[in-house]
Amino acid sequence: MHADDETNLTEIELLSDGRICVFGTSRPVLEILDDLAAGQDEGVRRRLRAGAPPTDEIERDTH
Amino acid sequence: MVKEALAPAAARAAAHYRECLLCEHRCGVNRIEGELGRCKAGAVARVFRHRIEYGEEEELVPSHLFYLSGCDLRCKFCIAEEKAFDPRIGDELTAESFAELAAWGASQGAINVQWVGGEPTIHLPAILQAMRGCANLPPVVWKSDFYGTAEALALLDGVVDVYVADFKFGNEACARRIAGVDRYVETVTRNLALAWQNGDLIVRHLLLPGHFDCCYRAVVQWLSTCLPRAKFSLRDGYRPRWVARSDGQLNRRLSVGEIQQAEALARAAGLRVIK
Repeated sequence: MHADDETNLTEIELLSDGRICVFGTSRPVLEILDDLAAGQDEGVRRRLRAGAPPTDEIERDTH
Repeated sequence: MVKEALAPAAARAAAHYRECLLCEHRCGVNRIEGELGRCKAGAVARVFRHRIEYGEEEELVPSHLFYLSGCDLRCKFCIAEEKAFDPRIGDELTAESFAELAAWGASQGAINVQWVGGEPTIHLPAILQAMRGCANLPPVVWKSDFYGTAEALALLDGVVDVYVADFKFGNEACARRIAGVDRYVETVTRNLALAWQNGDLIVRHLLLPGHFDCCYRAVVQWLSTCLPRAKFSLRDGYRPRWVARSDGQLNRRLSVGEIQQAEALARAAGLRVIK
C-alpha cells in the first residue's frame, strides 16, 4: 500500500473576523500555533503535551 | 496487542461481501461477484490517505488516521468529496501494508489507529482481516457515520476501543435533503445506544449553518435525554465544500455568535463536552 502520507499537509484559513481555521494538524503546525499564541492557548498546549516526541527526535536529542 | 474478538469477527464479517448488510441501505448484493450496492464498493478496501493527526479530540491525539474511499452517505458538505465517494480510489488495504504503516505510526508517536472515510463500515470485512494480521495492534478508534446495521456494529464488539460517532442531523427531512438517506435518526440513535454499551463513545456534531434548531438542538435534546454521560464533541469548523458551495443554506461559514450559542446550549443541557 502506498497511500499518501499527508501528515505534513495542512490547510490554514484566516477569516476576516480574526479566526484561524486549521484543517489537518501536525505537530509542527501545533508548535507554530503555540508560538503565535505565546503559549497561552491551553487547547494547543494540551495537544502538544499529549504527543510523545517522535522516535527520530528522541534519537537526535540523545546525540 | 492481539484481540481475541478479531478472528471470529473477521470470519463472520466475510459473509457480508456475499450478501452485504453492512449499512442500513441493506442492498444485499454479492460484492465478490461484482454486484454494486448504493456505496458502489467492491470486495477490496482502499486507503487513499493516512496521516498522524493532532487536531482530533485531545484524548485521541496523536492519532494515526486511515482514510478509506467509498461511503454510504452523500453529504453535500463532505470535505473529502470525490475521494470519499469513489471506492476505486486509493491503494488496497492488506494485512501486510496495514501492519507496516501502523508500526510506522507508532514510531511517530501515534497512540492509536483510527479508521475513517468515506465510511469504514462498508469495508468492515477487509478492515477486520487487516487488523487480525497485525501483531502489535494499537488501540482502535472507529470514526463512523453510524449508519451501519446492528449486525455490523456487533462485529466491532471487543475490537474497537473508542467509537467516534458523527451525529450529523436531528431529523429525517434534513438527512434526506443533505445526505440522501432515509431512517437516519432511528438508525444512528439505535447505534449510539449499542456503542455506549460496548466501549468508550465520543459523539461528534458538526455544526451546520442554518441547522441550529432543526438539527443541533434535536441532537442535544436526544443526547441529554438518552445518553447524558456520553462525551460530546462540538465541531465548529464547518466550511462549505463540494456541492454545499451551491446550496443556499450551507454555502457560508458559521459566525462566532452561532458557535457561542451552540456551546451555551450544550452546557445548559448538561452535556459532557470535550475538546
